[in-house]
Amino acid sequence: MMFHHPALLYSRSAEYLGSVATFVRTAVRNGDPVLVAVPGPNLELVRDALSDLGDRVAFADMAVAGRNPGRIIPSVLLRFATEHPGHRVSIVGEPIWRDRSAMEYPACAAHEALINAAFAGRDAAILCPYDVGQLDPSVVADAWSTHPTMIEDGLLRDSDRYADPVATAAAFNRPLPPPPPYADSLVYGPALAAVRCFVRRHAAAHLPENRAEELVLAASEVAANTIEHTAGRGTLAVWAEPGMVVCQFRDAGHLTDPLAGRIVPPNTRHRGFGLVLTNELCDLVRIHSHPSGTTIRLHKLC
Amino acid sequence: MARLPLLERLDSGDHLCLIVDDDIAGREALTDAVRAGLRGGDRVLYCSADTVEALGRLRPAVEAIAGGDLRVRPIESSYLSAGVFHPAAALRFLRQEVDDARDAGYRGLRLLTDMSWASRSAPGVDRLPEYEAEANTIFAEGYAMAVCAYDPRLFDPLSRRGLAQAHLGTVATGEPFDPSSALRVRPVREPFGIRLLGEADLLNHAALRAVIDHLLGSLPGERATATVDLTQLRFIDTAAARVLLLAYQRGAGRLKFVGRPTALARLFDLHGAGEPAGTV
Repeated sequence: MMFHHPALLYSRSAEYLGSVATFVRTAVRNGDPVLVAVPGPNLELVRDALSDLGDRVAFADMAVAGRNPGRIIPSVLLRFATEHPGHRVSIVGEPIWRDRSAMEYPACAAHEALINAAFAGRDAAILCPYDVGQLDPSVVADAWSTHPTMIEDGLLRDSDRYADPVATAAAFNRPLPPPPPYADSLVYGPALAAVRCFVRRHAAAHLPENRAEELVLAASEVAANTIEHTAGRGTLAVWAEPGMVVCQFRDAGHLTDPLAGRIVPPNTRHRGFGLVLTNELCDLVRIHSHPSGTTIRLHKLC
Repeated sequence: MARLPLLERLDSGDHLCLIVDDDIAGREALTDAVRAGLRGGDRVLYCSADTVEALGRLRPAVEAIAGGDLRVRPIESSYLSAGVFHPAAALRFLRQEVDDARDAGYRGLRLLTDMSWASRSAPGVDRLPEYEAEANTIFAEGYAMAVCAYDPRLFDPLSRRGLAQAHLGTVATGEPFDPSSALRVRPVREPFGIRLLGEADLLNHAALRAVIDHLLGSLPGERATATVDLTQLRFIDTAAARVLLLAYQRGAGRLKFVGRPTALARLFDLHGAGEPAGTV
């Protein structure tokens, strides 16, 4: 039983298809359940190339299912693994593509590092393709830190820069920019209803009702953590940016579990659902935590 | 400036924690609630450590006191027995007052309490949240309601939170009570059970747990079922949804839900062990 987590560095479609198809076909031959979770255009390519395998391969559009990098581990990867107990699972997971924004990227890189912690000891293989022709060289350099093995020019080798995943993820625990001057802000205490009312009012002006209520639920969960884990109050800023509504929370707590929000608690008696649900409901969750306080930023696309 | 009628929208079944960081505003809110109760035909029960002050303030209602519509009780003969706080004894007192009011034909019972006595080191007072949570099972019958006025300056943050969580809603002076942002529990005869309205979250989940546990515990026999109607619940977070899911798992088929709010649906997807019968 072992966990295999190579990055595939590719620059041409043929190279991409060749390596991904080989990985998938080998897994299918071995009887492994296989999931291909890659962004839209690549998904079509792979689906066409593997059409002969029928329903022996599951597909997901990573740009949708993994829009928020924080939910890829619990809602895509671990979910697929837990749906196939007793089997080695093989997954193609491509969480980073050219259009990922500068705000999204640190969450993507932290996600890549933390896959190693979340899957430690599990019988699984996760292949992560990186388009070296399209991605910034610094992104490709980070892949060498977040993957124990690399596939380059068709050859598999150990990464000489791979390091402790929690320490690597911590390097992406970066301060968030302050809210813009036009943001509306609220100092909140235990009255979570006031937080919901505040978020609902702003969200309803920009989002369809069901998406507005999803943001209200996510915001309430984050504020509940302030009440549950700190003795003081928190501040919340809400504003609209083109195509999205943003909430940014700040409190005096220190979030020390690097996998918080990425692992579904084993049963209902355990706490820790709040951040998992927040990751599911939002299109981006960025967290910066430090002994002096925690800032959490939620994006909800219109 | 006109005073805000803080507790104007109270209804039978409500159980509110009134945060009184302004003595005058807090007493005025309670006095207004007394008058509103008397006007509406309720028996009003006012409990305070300082009955002299309370009686002085409620003097215009002297006829109501004489006629039995308004009862003013010292803490020593209501919440405390022999100077000690026992949740069971306090609940017996509440049950007795509810039965008395019903027997006397009142429309409902309105209990208003100045809880500042609880900051004193009366033995057993650490069990106050237990009483406050359990009292919800009596209010959930839909006849009685209560407002418990706490001065936050007298309690540490952890105690304050524990006490607030045992109430269905929390109101601060300066912010009128809005039922849509608190939890309301109403009894339903057919199918037997309760209806939840408003918002359930971390801040009232202990109250919800007491009500749900009581509902499950009150079922006669192993085949009887209870229904919790969630269709008018505007909001539920994971803390409150866990209360429902844990009760559902413990109930082994005897608890049914109608409605499937988001947080509960997600928890059921993850840990529900099957879809609850009766959900829509």
